Amino acid sequence: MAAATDTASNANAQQLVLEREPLVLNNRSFSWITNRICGIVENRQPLGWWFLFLPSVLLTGVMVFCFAYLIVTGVGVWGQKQPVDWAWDITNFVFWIGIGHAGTLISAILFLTRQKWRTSVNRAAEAMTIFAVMCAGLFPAFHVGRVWMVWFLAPIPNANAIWQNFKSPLLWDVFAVSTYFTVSLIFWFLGLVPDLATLRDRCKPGIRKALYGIFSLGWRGSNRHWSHYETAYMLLAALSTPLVLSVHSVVSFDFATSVVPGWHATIFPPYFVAGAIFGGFAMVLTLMIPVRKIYGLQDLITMKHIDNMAKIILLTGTIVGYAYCMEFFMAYYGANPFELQTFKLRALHGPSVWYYYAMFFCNVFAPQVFWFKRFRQSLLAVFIVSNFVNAGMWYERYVIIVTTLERHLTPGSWRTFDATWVDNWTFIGTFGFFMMLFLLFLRFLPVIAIGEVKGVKPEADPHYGESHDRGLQEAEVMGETDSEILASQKAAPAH
Amino acid sequence: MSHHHVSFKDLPEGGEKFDPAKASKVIGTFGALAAIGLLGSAYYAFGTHGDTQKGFAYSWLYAIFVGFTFVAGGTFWILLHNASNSGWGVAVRRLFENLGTMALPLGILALPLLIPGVQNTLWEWFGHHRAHPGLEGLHHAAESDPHLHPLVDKYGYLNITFWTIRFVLYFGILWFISTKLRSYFLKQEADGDIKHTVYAREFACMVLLPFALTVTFAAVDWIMALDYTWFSTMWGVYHFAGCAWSSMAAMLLLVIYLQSLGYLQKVVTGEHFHLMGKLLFAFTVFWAYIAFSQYFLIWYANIPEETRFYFIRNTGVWRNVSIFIVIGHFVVPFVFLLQQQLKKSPKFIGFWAAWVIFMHFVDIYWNVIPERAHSMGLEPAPGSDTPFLPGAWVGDVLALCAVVGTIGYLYLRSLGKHSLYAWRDPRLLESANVRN
Repeated sequence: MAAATDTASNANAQQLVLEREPLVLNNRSFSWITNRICGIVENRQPLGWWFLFLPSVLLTGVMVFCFAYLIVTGVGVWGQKQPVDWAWDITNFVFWIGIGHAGTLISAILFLTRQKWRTSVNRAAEAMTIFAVMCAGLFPAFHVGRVWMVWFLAPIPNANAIWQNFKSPLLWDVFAVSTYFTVSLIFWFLGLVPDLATLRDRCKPGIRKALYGIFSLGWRGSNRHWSHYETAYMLLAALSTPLVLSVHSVVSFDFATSVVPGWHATIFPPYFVAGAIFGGFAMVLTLMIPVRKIYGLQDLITMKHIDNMAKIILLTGTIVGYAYCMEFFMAYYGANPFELQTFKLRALHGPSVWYYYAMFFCNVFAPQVFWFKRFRQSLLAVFIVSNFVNAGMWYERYVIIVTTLERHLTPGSWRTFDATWVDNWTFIGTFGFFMMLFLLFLRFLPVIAIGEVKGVKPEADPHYGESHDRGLQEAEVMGETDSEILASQKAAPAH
Repeated sequence: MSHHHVSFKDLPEGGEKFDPAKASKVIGTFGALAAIGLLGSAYYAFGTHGDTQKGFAYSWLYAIFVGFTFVAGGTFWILLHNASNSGWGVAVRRLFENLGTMALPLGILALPLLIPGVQNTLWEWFGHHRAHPGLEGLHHAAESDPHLHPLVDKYGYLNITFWTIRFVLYFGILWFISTKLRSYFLKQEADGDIKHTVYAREFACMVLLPFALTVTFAAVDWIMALDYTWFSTMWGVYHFAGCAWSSMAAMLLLVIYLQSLGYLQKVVTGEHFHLMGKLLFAFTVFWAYIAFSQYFLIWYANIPEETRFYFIRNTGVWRNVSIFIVIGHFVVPFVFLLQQQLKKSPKFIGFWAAWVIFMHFVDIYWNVIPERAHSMGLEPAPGSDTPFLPGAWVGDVLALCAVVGTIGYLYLRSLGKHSLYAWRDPRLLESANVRN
């Protein structure tokens, strides 16, 4: 909580200043920050890392096996049958794509809105984004049936003169997701460059030094380097921002352009985007709460960071709740019997109502505990709620996709979906794949953006110290430009 | 950009009091607009009859809804500012607070919408409800007129009693929120206690949801229900985008004007213009995103009960207005507001703020007015393909003058009651010295 400090007074009335909480606790020095973050990469991994890594590799193997089994047998090993032609595969695709939203949101949108607290979590969130999009891409790729023909999705002229259906939102998805992945990857890599140079400079000569050297692109931290870097970072942030919105909007078009009751709602694009941010932040918390504990990063990822993210979850959860209710209200208000029937089947007497209740509980009710500071400050509570949200966002996609198709317009073809063991294990396997990639990222790359987190320290302000005669700890209070922050890095040694 | 560092010693105790006498020209202009508009409106309302009189009901609804978007937008920005624990906007927040409190006079101006004759003209469903009272009556009538079936289905929401309660609530909630939020900071100016800032934040968080529901359902009740068969889940978000966009533009113009009178010199800098310009830009894009999504999904799915809204706006003369909105509401401001350096220039941002307000008038006009001729069953004039009520645009302009003039006049007159900024706000220096 912000502290009240007596500061200056003019003629009569005493004036107070509400200070901002520091983003780096215990006044940690620049070198402490470098050592602590680089230490994760340079030292032996704690036992906990291995406890997580080995099962993740095992589950990745299970995923590979499931996909291999699908290839040799056919898509029929999954549970989808008429009329549920989109089932777990598309549910999982939308789920993972949603997870992949927080990273670029934190990097780009919070950068543009000058939310400095992003610096402690943006790197890990961006990495998570990339891994989540990789997991997402697997499902539609295998759902096409013959995965070796998946390149037909790209508009490449071919001998059979087969051309894509440009009128289909499914094709737009191919473009939207691949663009998002590419830009997110470049953005992530660009942010890594100065930190890779730091790692390079700390390494003993050898293969690691060579690799960090190659990927740090000759970074020396000169003024000119920082200047170009900032311009590129800003431009990429500006380019990524519409992408964060476009990806999930296009995913929502897969459903909303149709005339299927329960799918066709004009609110779908912003509703999907809010849901994606919601689910993405939940996954960031799920990963970062253990990471900060295992690697002792409590001074960098502070309770203030956790608190902010919990509030974003509360806000986006409530927006998602607004969308659920608005859909329901318009199903009633629109007086279309088919639309209303779909919602009644979802929520009242369909075969999968408990999915709907689970969704509503996890996404709308569970985050409401974050109204209370006590819960936002309890790591256990935040961890539990963020996992509710992870689950709830999966249920949401299941509700939208599967429960709608199970009770399509023709009652004669109604059929309840049953997942097969391949469905189950493929999905579980992607969690292993995701965790494996994330753990490798922890092992080889700096989990926190070293340069950026130093920039939010008060002493990074070029005017730090000047204001002390005014009796104000202003460096933390004032919003200096990021270019000034990063320029000041030049004065500070790289490590 | 470097400017002199502002400390409390630079700021006058008691803040800056606005003297309406200094702004007599502008206040006089608003007053004259209000007088002309109100007199003209009175003539249209009482001195005409038949279609002209009925058509004026739409004019008044249009003007009231324009006013509502500004007031709701002002309330939104103070809610966001407090709830997000933001610092930069302390120097200009009071202006938004005052805008939100205009909900009360606006509510009084909106009272004619409670007159049964006006309601029956604007919202067809009122007429049916009055002709066939009660659910039973409607049910019975629907047996011979199947068009009434939807009214039976949505009776729980669309009924006269509930509608009237909501009507009062919309203005009441906005007025309560903005008055309450302002009162925290007025108390702070008396005792200097920091706790009021915290209370204001807690209050703002709690009323965010009621605010969102207010904007959503006001837009549903007043505009969407002009055609009781039409519906869109995006509707509330669309109008919320317009509220935030237009009110930010209005406050930008006001800040520029106040500075030209010599106010806010120390606390508002080019950085504030830049920040407000960025938010204006953000909502230019957000509005376009929402407007496009709504249009696109309805166009693509092509379901008759949904396409009617766009059908009457995409044909005939209204098609030109639609295209003009795409260009003027999005493309042009998008291109110009992109440029960082220009956003810090009061002249530049002032021009685009004025443009934004104009385009917002056009957007609401396009939302409300095309329904008029269709609902009144008018036929296109010979040689035209769009039905119009001849000469009705005069009434539209007069109504707009009446509402905007009155609200502008009352707003500027009341601006002198309190300091122009919360002078004991603990984040005032943060705002005055903001750099972004």
